[in-house]
Amino acid sequence: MNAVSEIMQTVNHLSAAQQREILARLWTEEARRATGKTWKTVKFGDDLRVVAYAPEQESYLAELRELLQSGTLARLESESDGTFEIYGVNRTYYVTMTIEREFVGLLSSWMPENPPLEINLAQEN
Amino acid sequence: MALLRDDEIRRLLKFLGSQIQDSEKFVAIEDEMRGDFGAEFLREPDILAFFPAEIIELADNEVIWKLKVISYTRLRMIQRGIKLEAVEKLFEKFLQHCAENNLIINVGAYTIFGKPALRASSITLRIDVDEVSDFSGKAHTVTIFIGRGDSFETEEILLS
Repeated sequence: MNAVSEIMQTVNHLSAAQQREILARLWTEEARRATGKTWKTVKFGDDLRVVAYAPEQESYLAELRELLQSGTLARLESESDGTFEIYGVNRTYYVTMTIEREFVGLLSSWMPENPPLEINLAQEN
Repeated sequence: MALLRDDEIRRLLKFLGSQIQDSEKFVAIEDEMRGDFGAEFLREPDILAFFPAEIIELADNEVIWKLKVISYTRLRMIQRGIKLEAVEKLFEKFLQHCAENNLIINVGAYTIFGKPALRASSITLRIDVDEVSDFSGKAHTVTIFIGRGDSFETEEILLS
């Protein structure tokens, strides 16, 4: 088991008050690091439409739908494209989404312990 | 509610002109794009039927990489004027960077930020490496998405 899963298991055994103590400190750190990024909670009803835009993602549609209908945390990447990262318990989803139209197009997903590796080639031209 | 820019609409309509024969359909799509919810319209599946997926094949030593540009990505590329060659070039730079830094490319997600050429605009490629094999002759497959520059401010790997 890797670090993210182990920490999540430990935190899940804490009381709600203890979890808030941890969350508040992580949240402050994230807000300092990612100025201008928008986080929001989303929750959809029965009219939710979820489609997979990459065939490899079709097997995750059911659990994504369930997650979105029970309510979850999302981080906005691009307002114009409607791209968000959506955080489930065991998986993170990269989607294009229109909340008002209850539409979600699933593009990619990964396990929390293996988030996208970020490579900056900007200095290598 | 989000509007599309004029240059984005112009590029998309130019491409759609070669894909749609039905003039009523074309006008209906143009109206949607020029409307108050043009950006939201582009996220929906109906419009993607007019943007065929592409596969770019590129050889890197003995390995063949198959870059799958799905319909959604194709739409975003045309919207922003990003050519397939630019994606191919940036991916080649990524391979070169990994080789120079002894980074092994594994199955999983990557975010790549960079310029395909010296004077080109920056592109953020979000990719899923779907399959990797060390045996020559079996292609490595990668699904390509276009992000929006987010990685530049949240980079986790600093390159010298």
